[in-house]
Amino acid sequence: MKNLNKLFWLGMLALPVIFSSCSKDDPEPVPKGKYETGVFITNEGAFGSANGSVSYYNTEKDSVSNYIFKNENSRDLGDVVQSLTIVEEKGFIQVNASNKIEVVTYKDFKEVGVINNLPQVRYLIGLDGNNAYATMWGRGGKVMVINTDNLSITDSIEVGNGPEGLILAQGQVYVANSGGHVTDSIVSVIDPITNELLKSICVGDSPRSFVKDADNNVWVLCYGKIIYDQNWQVIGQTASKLVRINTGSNNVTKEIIISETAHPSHLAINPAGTILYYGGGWGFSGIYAVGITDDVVPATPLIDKSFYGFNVNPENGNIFALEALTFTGNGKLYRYNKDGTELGSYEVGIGPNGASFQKKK
Amino acid sequence: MLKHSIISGFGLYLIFFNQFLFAQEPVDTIINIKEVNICYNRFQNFSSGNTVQKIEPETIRNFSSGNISDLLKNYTSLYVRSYGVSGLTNISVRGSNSNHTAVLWNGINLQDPLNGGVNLFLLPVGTVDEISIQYGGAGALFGSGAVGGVIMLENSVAFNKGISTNVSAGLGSFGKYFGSAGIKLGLKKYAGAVRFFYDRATNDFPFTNTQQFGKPEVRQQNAAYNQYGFTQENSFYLSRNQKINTYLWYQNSYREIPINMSSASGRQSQEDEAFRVSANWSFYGNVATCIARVAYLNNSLIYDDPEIGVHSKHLSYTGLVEFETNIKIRDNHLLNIGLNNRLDAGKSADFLGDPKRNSTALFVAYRIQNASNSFETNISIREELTDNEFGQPTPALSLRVKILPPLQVHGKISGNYRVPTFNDSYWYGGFAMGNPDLVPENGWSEDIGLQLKTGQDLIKTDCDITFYNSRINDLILWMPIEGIWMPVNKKEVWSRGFELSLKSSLNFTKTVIGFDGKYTNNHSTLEIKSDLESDAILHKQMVNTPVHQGNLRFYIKQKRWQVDLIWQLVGKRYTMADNSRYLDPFYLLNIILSGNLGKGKSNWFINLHLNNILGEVYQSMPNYAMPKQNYQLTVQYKFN
Repeated sequence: MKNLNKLFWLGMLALPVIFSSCSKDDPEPVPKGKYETGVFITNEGAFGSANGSVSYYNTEKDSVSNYIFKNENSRDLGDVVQSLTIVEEKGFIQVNASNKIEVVTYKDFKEVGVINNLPQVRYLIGLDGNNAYATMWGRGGKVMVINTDNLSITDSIEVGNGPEGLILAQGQVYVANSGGHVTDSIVSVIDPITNELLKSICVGDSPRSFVKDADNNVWVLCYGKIIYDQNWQVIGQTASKLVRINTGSNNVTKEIIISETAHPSHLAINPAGTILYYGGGWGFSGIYAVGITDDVVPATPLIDKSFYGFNVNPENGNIFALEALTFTGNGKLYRYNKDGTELGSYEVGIGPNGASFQKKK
Repeated sequence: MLKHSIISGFGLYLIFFNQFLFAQEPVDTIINIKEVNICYNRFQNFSSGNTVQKIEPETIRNFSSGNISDLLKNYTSLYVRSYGVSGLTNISVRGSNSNHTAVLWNGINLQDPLNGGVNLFLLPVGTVDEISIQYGGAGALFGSGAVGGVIMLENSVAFNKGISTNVSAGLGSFGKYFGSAGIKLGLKKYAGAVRFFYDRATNDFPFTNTQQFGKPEVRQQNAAYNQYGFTQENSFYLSRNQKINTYLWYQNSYREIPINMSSASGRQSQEDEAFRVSANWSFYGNVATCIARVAYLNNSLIYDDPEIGVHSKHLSYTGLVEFETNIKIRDNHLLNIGLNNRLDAGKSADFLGDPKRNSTALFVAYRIQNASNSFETNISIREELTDNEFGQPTPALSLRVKILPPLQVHGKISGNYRVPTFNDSYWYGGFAMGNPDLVPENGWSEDIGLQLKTGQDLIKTDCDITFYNSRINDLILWMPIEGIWMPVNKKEVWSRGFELSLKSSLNFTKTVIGFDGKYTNNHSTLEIKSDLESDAILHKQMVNTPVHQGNLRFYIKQKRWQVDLIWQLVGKRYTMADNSRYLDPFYLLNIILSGNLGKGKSNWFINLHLNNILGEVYQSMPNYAMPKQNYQLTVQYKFN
């Protein structure tokens, strides 16, 4: 039964972690920390066991260290580690079923604090002025405003059901209301200065995650919807699609239908902002690549394998794809180059769902 | 798991020292035979190859204000897994899964058809009169689910004893309050009993949360419970050799589901409601006894999480009809034949439709004893028809031989199985789908044991060592297949080890000083895995299953007072399938003081439990806090 109990979590998607735009030039070279030159992998863990973890891929050594939070802090991260975002010097780790964000100094992964009381927290982005936004499904679906300096919750913004991925573009924050435990099809646009809701954009069923392209447009992946009858037979589905939002007008300006019957969960973009990658999640096989100017999706995948999640390295375009296997033991990380050629595979923690890349200094 | 209990797509959803006795040991008198609840005919007559432990009535009384898990942890070699103090609590016998122990209430299997489990937290000791444990599989006698062992709960009433009433009240650490009242009536042809109980606790015990930032001193949150219930039994003699028994058990339990140590908050709760009723008619002839039995069970589980707006309800209904007869073929030859039909139905938003399962079983057992009762052998077989499909026949063969007067050898080979649960077969939604093509988990277990009983009046010693070996094949594993989670018959687990029991007492005129020791050695390893799993998990000890476990009890008993000192030992338990991480062993010292202050018809009974007096910090399941020192005081008044 326990396997079943975690299915809700398994059904949920890992989104690419999106970085804040508030980069600062760092003029003084400082000695590199233990975890400063690599990629963090979030591992959900087995639901209910509080054994979620973070693995670290060392780009210089081409090797993986597992359970780095536990190794540095002598405790587990918690139950269902959903995502990790680096904001300035801190790593914010969203622990979904433990209803909290654990905060570390990302270079050495030492704990610096915790933000509790965030039921089903999902993703976080950093903003200007020591602020961050975190989406959470609990309490009807909210974006929580967090002070990244003193780690307090300063405000909350009502959005739609099951707020999931979020992105900052053209001074506005876009939030994908995935539906959560029910349904939704709205992207909420928020002014991060006033924390006011500016607009609700209807994009398609179950929007999940965003990328920003070379033309400063935002793309959102809509998972689509599967409709069941009272006997749980599938009686209809809505298509999965890629939807382009013009960040000036906040109108939908383009749609690329992915499939009427298959539903990918993850979206990423190449460093140049010209090629969209979609795929991964339960029930979807392969990672596909489609150009932002294309009108139809390719028939064959770039990588023909089933993954729980994947992300693209914003520096070099390498693809980090995660295989969760059965959630009873460790999962696997596969690295590919932008053409889909495998570069290596590594054992990571239980239930890996995504990779978080450090911001280039 | 559930671990544990069930919950919908995103919800959630669990030694020793008593005398081993063999069930076929002669009962004192003919009258007593009639008064024994014959529901367990099969158990009493055909379990000779297994180690059977009957819990002493004093022990049942000592634990009557709690649930059965506390009693099992202190007095048996079953391993109890607790997801926190009010959380799901389940049993593992000889390394088997939580759904591999049959729990029989007056002969009716209480394993839930939806998830196959029984939450021990929902079994108050005070609702039953007798508790016995059979170690090892017994598929031929008890059917699906009796893979690792069987726990028998019985209600009994006594004729010709007049009227007696008892009232008890208890309190304990962390807001525990308990109250119960009962009346028993024993006339010449009618005997009956009724009892009510109420039990609650807040369970806000303090602990150091080593899994939280800053390792703060906190109190357990969201672990309160309250439950109440009543039972009612009747027994009528229709004639000298015909009797009718009826049993009723209603219970309502509301409990908060303890959050694990990684969370600072949570408000999940679960309400379980059970209504159970059964009746049987018995006929005692010179050559044959017959028992016909009917039962109806209804379970309702409501899971609620207001933080995320989840409220889900799961219902199960079971109807059972059974007939069995014992025929004395000739002296010392006994034949048992029975036919059983069970209809299970489930209702949940997570199921495809409203699933039902109809199973009919035919079972036959034959027992041969020699005249001096120094030799006994049983052979039994069960064939089950489930939804018009015949399963594999499940046989068993057992043997008991007295070699020398104090020394006895017992052995058994048993086929065992567990049919898939409704969740396994009919789940639908949340990227998961049940698999209607699953076959029952199945396997064989073998036991061989040696029992030594020596001693005269002053010193009595009783020693038993049983070696066991068991394989369970086609274990059901949920795994992603083309992106959908589905259960498949995949794994094989091999369990082997031994159970050792050593018991000795010095019997003076007014004082008994005794010692009981039990130790279980269990190696349970995964022998076949899915292709999706790492090779590193093969041949490794199963998670949350200790290799070493034991209990040690010293006691001093006088006419009115008894002091028990119990030391529980649970060895290291792995928490990762590749055995790369583990929970530390723990040792708990408990003291039980009991006294009987009664005189004549009116009896006062006082019982004090001092648990974990050394303040051991431990976890039963990973990251669920357990309390340090705690106590429980119960006062009972009985009037005959």
